[in-house]
Amino acid sequence: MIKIERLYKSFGNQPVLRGVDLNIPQGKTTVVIGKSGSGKSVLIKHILALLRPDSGRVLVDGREISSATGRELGRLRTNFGLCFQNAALFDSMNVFDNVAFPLVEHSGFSRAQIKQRVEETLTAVGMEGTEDKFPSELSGGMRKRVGVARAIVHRPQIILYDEPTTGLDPITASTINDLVIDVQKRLGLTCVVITHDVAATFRVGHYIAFLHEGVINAYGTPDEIENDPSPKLREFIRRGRAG
Amino acid sequence: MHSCWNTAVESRIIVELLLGALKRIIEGAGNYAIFSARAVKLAFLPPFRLRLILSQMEFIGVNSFFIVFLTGSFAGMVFALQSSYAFKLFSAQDLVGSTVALSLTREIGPVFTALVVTGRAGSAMAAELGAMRVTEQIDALETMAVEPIQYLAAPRLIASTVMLPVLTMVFDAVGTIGAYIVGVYYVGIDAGTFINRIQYYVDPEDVYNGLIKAAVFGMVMATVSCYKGFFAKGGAKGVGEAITRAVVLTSVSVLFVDLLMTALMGSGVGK
Ligand SMILES: Nc1ncnc2c1ncn2[C@@H]1O[C@H](COP(=O)(O)OP(=O)(O)OP(=O)(O)O)[C@@H](O)[C@H]1O
Ligand SMILES: [Mg+2]
Repeated sequence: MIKIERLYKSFGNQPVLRGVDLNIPQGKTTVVIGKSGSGKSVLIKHILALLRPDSGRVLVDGREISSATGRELGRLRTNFGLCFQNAALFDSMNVFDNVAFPLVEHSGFSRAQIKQRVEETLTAVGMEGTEDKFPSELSGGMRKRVGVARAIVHRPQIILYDEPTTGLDPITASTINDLVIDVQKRLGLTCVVITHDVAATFRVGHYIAFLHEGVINAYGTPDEIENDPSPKLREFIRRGRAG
Repeated sequence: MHSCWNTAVESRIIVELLLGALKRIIEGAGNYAIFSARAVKLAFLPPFRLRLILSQMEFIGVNSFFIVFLTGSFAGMVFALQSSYAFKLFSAQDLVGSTVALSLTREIGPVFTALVVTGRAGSAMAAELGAMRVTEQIDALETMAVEPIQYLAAPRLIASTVMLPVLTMVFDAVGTIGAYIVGVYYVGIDAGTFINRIQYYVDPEDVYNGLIKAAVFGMVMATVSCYKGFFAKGGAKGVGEAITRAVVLTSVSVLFVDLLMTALMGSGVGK
C-alpha cells in the first residue's frame, strides 16, 4: 500500500501540489485523473522519489521512500515499474535490450530466460517482431507500448502508468487498457494509472482520484465518483464523455 | 540630489548582480565537486560495466586516433619550422629536435590532445547525457534502480582517463616524426644529431609527467562534460547550451590545471 501524506511541491514560485493526501490500496487499480498541467506526472514522480517533496511524505508499505537514499531507495524501487508518459526508451538500445534492461540489471535470469520473458511481454503489448528496431524507428504509439512492456517485464508489485493510452488510436488504446486490467488481475498487482480518458477511467479503476488545483478534490469507487457532487469533477467527466 | 540617489541604487543593483553571479559560481563548483567525487567513487565500486567501458574507450580512443594523428603531425612540423627559424639566428639548429620533443612530451602533447578530444568526445558526452536527461531516460534509469552516475559517468570517466594518455603518446610520436621530417629533409639538420639531441635532452620523466597530465585532463574532460550533460534542462536548446558550456569549461579547466601541474612538477631544468 502506498500512502501519500500532505504532499507539497512547487517549482520556483509555482505551486503544483498543495497538500495531496491519497491512499493507494494494495492489489487494486487506482486511477488519477485531472486536467493537463494539474500535476499528475509530478505526483507519480514523487511516488518513485524521482522528485523530492517540499514537505509531506510518501510511504510504501510503511517505509518512507520520499526520504530514502542509496541502497534502501534502490531496493524500494525494484518493486516498481514505471511507464513514462513519453516512454523514455533508451535510444541507444534496440527494443529487445530496452525491455530486457530491468531483467539484466536485477533478475539474475539466464540469457534464455530473459529472451523468453521479453518475447512474452512484447507479445502481450502487441509488439512482437520488433526486437531489433531502435526507438527512433518506431511510431509514438509503438514506443508507448514498448514502454509498457519495459515497465511490466520484471513483474513488479506496483506498476505506475503515466497516460499509457494518450495519443493511441482507439483500438490500440483499448488493447492497452485490456492489458492493464489483465496484468493487474492475473498478478494481483497494485496499479496507479494516470489518464485523461474518462471511459477508460471507469473501466480500469477500482478507485478514482481527481486531482484539482494541487489537492485530491474527489476520491472514491467508480460508483461514488459517478455520484460525487464536486462541480469541477462533474464538468471534467461530462466534457470527457462528450469527447 | 536626484543623481546621487540614482548612483546609490545603481551601485546596489550592481553589487547584488555580482553577489548573485558569485553565488551561482560557488554553487556550480560545489555541485560539480559532488558530482565528480561520486563518479570517481562509483568507478571503483561494482557493478563494473566492462561492456560500457570498452565501448567508451572505442569511442574516445579509437575514433579520435585519426584527428589526433593529424593535429599531432601538423603541430610537430610547424613547431620544428618555427624553432628552426629562431635557432638559425644563433646557429643552434641542432637543438630543434630536442626542443620540439621536449615541448611535445611536456606540454603540447597532453594539452593539444585534451583540447582536440574535448571537441570531439567531450561535446558528444554532454550531448548524449543532455539528451537522455531531457527525454527522461536518466529518470528511467533511476526508476529501474540503476545509479545513473555509475551507469553513465563512471564508464566515460574510466575510458577518458585511460585513453587520453594513449592518445597523447600517439600525438608525441607523430609530432616528433613530423618534426624529424621537417628538420632533416627541409631545414637540413643531420639526422643523427637530431635524434642524438632528443635522446640527450628528453628524459623518461618528461614523458611520464606529460602522460600523468593527460590522464588528469581526461578526468577533467569526462567529469565536466558529463556534469553539464547530466544537469541539462529545457529541451534541445538546453542540450545545446550544455554542450557549449562543457567544451568551453573543459578547455579553460585543462589549461588551468596544466598550469597548476606544471608548477607542481617543477621545470626539471638543470638536471
Ligand atoms: N521539472 C519541472 N520543472 C519545473 N516545472 C515543472 C517540472 N515538472 C513539472 N512542472 C510543472 O508542473 C506542472 C504540472 O506538470 P505535470 O507534468 O505534472 O502535469 P500533468 O498533470 O502530468 O499534465 P499532462 O496531463 O499534460 O501530462 C506544470 O505546470 C509544469 O509546468
Ligand atoms: Mg503528465
